[in-house]
Amino acid sequence: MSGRSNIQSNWHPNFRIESTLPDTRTIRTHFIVKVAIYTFVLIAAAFVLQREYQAYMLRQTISELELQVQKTSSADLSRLKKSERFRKLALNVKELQRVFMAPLMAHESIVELASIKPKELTFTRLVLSERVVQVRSGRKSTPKVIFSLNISGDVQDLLILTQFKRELEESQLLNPSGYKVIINEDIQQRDVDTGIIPFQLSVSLEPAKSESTIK
Amino acid sequence: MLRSKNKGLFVDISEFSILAARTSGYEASMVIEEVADFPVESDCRLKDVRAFLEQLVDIKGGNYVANCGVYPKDRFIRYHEVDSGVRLKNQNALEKLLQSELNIDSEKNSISILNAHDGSQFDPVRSSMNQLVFCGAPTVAFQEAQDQILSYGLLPGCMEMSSVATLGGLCSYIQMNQFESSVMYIELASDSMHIFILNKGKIEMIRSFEFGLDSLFPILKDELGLKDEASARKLFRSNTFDVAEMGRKLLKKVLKELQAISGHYEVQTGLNIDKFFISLLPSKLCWIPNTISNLLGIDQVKVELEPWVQSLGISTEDSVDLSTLGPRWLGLFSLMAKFSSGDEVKL
Repeated sequence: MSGRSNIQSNWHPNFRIESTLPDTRTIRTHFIVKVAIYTFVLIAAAFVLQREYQAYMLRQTISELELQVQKTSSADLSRLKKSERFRKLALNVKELQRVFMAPLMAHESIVELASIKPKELTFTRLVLSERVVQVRSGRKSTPKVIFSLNISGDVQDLLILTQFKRELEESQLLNPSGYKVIINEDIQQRDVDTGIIPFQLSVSLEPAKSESTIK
Repeated sequence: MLRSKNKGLFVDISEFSILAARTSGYEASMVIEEVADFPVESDCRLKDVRAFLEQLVDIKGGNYVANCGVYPKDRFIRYHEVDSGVRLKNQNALEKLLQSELNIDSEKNSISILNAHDGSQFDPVRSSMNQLVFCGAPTVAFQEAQDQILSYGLLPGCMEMSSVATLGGLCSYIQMNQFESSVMYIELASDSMHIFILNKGKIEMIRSFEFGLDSLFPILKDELGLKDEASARKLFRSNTFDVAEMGRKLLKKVLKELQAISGHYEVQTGLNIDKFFISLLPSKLCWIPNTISNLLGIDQVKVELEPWVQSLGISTEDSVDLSTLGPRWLGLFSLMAKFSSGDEVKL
């Protein structure tokens, strides 16, 4: 451009009408600005539309799910009831399983006792009982069954009773794994007339952990 | 794409011809590399003008920056003395002056106010000059001229009124040649005539008339017994018939006004007008200045462009011979000049 176009020198008034001249800039900033604005507006519009569409789809999904929930709520209620019943029954099943997993079976115990019992020793009474205790391990507590075998009988010689007691301790059947066997003996005074000594052995099978607490 | 490169292009667009010059640039010490003249005929086509300009510069694709001089329709150049330049500080006062005394509608016209003594832009706040030149034209006319320039593949770096630039150029020419007596500058167009009286390079009087060469055609028609004015116009411009012999009759109205103005000026100032300068007219209408000279008894300014152009700091290439160019070229070179506020001119 001529340098004259900006500064009017003498006798050279410039009557050029700027507003109607064509845009001749090499980089047409007006065009770029317009394109940038239109692009921004289009992107913003597309973003808003996409968000609106997503929101619309989510609302539709929510309403469909709510309808589905309404439709299935009665079925769900009955299923919940069934589930509760099942949970209770499951407890019973667990209890039964625990019973069937008892370390001492009455008939097996009697057979074992009979096999190790010396001839000189007489059983007058056998009581096999069980009770459930909560064994705490850290914060958890699990139920365990403690079995007791009370043997009452007579013996003439205490050595025989001691031998029986030793065999009782060594018996594998009466010493199931996971349990420790505690045998207490209670020997009464010899009967003067008959010479026999009544005794009572309490065999208690407790869960093996020594730190466990029995309630 | 905007293209100006380093080459300057000056174009003077009138109803008779398009004068163009390619220069080394627009800055100081420019060199005129080539000049060209395109006569504007009634059947002139746009592609012809573009081809003419293409000879000078590469305008393919358009928007070649050029400094252009134009002669807009209904242009006005008024000389006015105000009581004090300070009075025009008020915008309302300026508006009032334009409307009431100069009859110029500031809303419809593009106006420039110049200090008459040096052509500098009038500053209503700072300037204390009270001899002013109000020049301009309807904005619509300038828009038409600008559209015309654009249609040629040019982008106006500057769009001036050639009349004003020529006025400045003639002032500097008179100052350079130290003319003692007053000079009358006549701009004779088809539909208007502007007369400027200059003394020692200062404007002393401006008169404008709403008639021009078109007023000659009814007379020519009657004299030659032509069927209509269009035929007279065609004959007048064709250069096939010598109308110089009837110049006195044809120019009667023009001469009458020139005599009236010069007489009025001489009576009023006591100064003589012994030279006149006529712009615009192509060489084939040279009988007009000759007739004026003979009938008014004043000489035409013999414009020697070369020394004047050199005084402006403008040089020419060897291939450009300014001595062969007529006085109408003064307007084109005036577009190139930077006139200083003093008596000197420099680029």
